[in-house]
Amino acid sequence: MKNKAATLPVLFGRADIFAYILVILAAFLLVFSGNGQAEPQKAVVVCGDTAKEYSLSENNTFDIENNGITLTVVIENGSVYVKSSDCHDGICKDTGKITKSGQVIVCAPAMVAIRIEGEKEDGYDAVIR
Amino acid sequence: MRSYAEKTAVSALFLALGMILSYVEAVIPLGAIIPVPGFKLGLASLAITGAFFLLGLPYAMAVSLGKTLLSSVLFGSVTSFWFSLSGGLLVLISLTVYKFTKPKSLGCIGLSVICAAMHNIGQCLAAAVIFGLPVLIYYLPALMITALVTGTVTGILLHLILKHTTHISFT
Repeated sequence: MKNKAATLPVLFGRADIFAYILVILAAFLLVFSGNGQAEPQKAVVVCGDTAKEYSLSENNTFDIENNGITLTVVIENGSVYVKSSDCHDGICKDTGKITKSGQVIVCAPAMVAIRIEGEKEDGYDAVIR
Repeated sequence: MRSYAEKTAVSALFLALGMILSYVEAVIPLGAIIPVPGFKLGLASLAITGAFFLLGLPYAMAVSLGKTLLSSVLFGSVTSFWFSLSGGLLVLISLTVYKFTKPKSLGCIGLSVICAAMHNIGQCLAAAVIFGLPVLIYYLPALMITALVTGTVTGILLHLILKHTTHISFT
């Protein structure tokens, strides 16, 4: 009955200091193991078979023409939206501004997709409980 | 020497304890004090480390995997199942290493800190794989520093529990 007590650990032993140091060291190693900073966000415009990247950090306005449809894309303060389009259904315009990685604006008639890639520091991607 | 039926019943008790402890720690508003998302005290780990010391490694495995399965079926989602599983498996691996090396000078606090850190590593890896965002790994240092604090707290609790339960012969 009492023999169990011998195998039970103490509250704080010598090796515990090493356990602390190990965890802190691992944490620091991760911090300094290169590019701890997030990759800047960019807008990837896929137009038919070609893809082009635009930085999200600088404001920009440009036209994309494909399949006889012209889209005017605006990059403004880290968000992307389609300002105008010749397309009759205007789904790309109605999508509004996208700001988060993984969000997409699609214009099917023009075969154009605009997708945000890269990481953003703030905001949750998902919440797990 | 207890029969397997008795040991199984006691490990079911530990499983129930683990389930209710995760509810208890959800009630404690620790997130208001330490604003690290995903931060929790890890009281439920006491059920697993407790089962490890009082019943043995196989029972601790049963408690851990049972808790993962039950809590994702009852309250969680498919994602939370993988999070919980990867964290739990890494903790079980550390406990296995502990069992076979038996470092004499590693106390309850050190073991708890290592388990808490391993749990965080497992969850972060699962998150990085599931969301396809390897950058999530860089959230680990913040979590591991909190593991130092929570591991210490659960380590002290574990020692108190073991001190008051060793006179009961579970095995």
